[in-house]
Amino acid sequence: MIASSNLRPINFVWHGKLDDFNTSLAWSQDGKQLAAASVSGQVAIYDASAGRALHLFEQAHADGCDALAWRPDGKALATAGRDGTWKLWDATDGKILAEHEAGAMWAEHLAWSSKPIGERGHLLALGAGNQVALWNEKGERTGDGLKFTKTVAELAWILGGGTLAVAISTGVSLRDPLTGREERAFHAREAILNMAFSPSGKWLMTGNQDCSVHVWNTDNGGEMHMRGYAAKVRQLAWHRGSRWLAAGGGEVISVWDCSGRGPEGRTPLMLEWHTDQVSALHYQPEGDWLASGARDGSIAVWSPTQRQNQISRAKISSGVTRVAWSPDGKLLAVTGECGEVQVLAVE
Amino acid sequence: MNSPSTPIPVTVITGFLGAGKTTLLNRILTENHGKRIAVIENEFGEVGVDHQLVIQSDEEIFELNNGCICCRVRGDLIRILGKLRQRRDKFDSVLIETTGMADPGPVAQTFFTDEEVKESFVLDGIVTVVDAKHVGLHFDDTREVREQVGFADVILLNKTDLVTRAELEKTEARIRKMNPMAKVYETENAAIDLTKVLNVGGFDLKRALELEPDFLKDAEHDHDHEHDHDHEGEDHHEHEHEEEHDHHHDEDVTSVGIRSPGDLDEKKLSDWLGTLLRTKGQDIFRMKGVLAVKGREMRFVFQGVHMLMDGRPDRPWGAEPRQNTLVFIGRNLDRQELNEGFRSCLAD
Repeated sequence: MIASSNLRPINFVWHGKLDDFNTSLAWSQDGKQLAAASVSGQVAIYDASAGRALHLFEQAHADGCDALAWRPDGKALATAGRDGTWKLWDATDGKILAEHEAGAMWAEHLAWSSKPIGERGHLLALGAGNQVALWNEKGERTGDGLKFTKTVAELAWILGGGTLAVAISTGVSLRDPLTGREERAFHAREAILNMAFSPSGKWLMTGNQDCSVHVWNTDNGGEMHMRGYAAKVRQLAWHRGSRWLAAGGGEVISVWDCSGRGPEGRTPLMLEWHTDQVSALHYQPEGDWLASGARDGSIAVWSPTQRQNQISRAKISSGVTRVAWSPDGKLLAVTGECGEVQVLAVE
Repeated sequence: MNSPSTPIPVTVITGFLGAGKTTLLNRILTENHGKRIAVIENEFGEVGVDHQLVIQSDEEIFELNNGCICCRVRGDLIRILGKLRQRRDKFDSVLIETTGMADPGPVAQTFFTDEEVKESFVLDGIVTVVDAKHVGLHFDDTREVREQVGFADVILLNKTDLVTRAELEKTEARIRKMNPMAKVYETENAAIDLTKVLNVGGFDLKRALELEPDFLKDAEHDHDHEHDHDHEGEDHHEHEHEEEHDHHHDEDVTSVGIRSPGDLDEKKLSDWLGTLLRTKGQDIFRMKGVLAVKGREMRFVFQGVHMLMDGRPDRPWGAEPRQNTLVFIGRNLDRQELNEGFRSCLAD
């Protein structure tokens, strides 16, 4: 047990409130703005230092907004939702810059490349149903869409933009964003629910239907399958150095050491404190702290490799749906099942 | 989620294309106007669904454990139900309309194996709509139609206005032979009292025997005809089969009913059922039963889908005579083997 007195105080800096379950949370790259979305279809953009809502879009997406992604310049926010559309909002005046059908009932995934791709600039990958489409900074369609045999489970840009990774239940496909050509494919034996590439691009981890984590070493094609989780591992978070991967999948957080040959044969660090299922994990983008949230509203900040690994704790009034560190790692944003948007700072 | 709450009931509507699934769906939505019902549709029906909350999805099977049929679940339903349960103003119920070619097994298994789905939803029943005019052909051509009948809790024998009474009776007899547990209703335009299709508790152990009377009646009927009071496991279907000389083909989807007095040995029973599910689970669609276990005052009730079985003691036998009633529905069931297996469990 850790003596609470050894924990660092945590300050509630400001809070906002949406009207239902928060589905998505995103800091702008400069850390000046925070956006949150709800299953009711609301989207809010907050001034991150003052906590003032700069914009509140009441019905950004009928039947719910599922995804948010800041354009890398921080001047526009992309949203996608259960009305089958995606929209690009001007973060300054709140006007819609672009609005398009996504091609499926639900538009669920958005990801901007952090690097410009050729002359096309930063590209937004949109996943809806079994399709992925690319859009440019102005919200214009670029290139042919990609079609998959199953519904897209997750999208990610590897190394900021060279390659687009698309996960479906049966595997992960790496695509050249310019040509759409498949560069590489990873076939899964167990149905994939989500994925996380290490920042280095070497490790591909997926959380699966059989309550496991599957690992691919993309350098040598090596694989391993880590079973025994109490629940589906829907939370995977990479440390910036690509050495540590934190995984949920129950009340205990496991942190795998992926240095050298990888996690095979190693015992993960076990972070035990939550007494309900862990529902959110995020590592500081520029630091070593891991934030976790659970379905009972409990929040913890960890420094997993330290002997006293828990740094701080807090609680919100409903289950945690997302945790996200600001880009400088000074502020931690947490959202809840009842619409809470809470910004915290660890002293 | 927000707080522990009563699971939301889910009704699955299956049936071949054109049987009248969407007509039934629209009827449920119209008559339940004002209730919050989410509809998950796996194909565009011939009739449009005019409803606010319709989610179209493509059937997606998640294969687990090397593709074992009993471990297949529906990934599309897991994903959609997972998102629907996020809302604070929960739904009153969910209707799933499958494609005409859907296997109901993975749909049902999703509700028994996926922890996240189980937490918020409960499968209430499988309703199969059958086109009385064309089902004969479909039975012969299409495995999925036979499976949909085999899995059903409720069967609507629809479009009865298009066939003669004799044809109808013949079809109904064929359905009964495949699935004696389901309630069968004759309908035109899928017009039915909705209490017969909603809240039927098809997988509810507490109500495992509400569906029994028809089966027992048939069994007893056969029993009388046989003039043979050997109480070692009846098989009423065999008898029925003999009566229907106009049926040339053996159905691959059949049922085996067993009814017998005599207490069962707990250990033998558990071994038999365990082995049966492990070796024959792929072919067993549904099973239900009430058993008298030696030394136990309570009735033991069970129900299952493929290899998944749920069973527990429910209430004391009291004045009711102790006896065993079991029904298996599935493909190519070996009735002799099932009967012998059951008999081997009788306590000395």
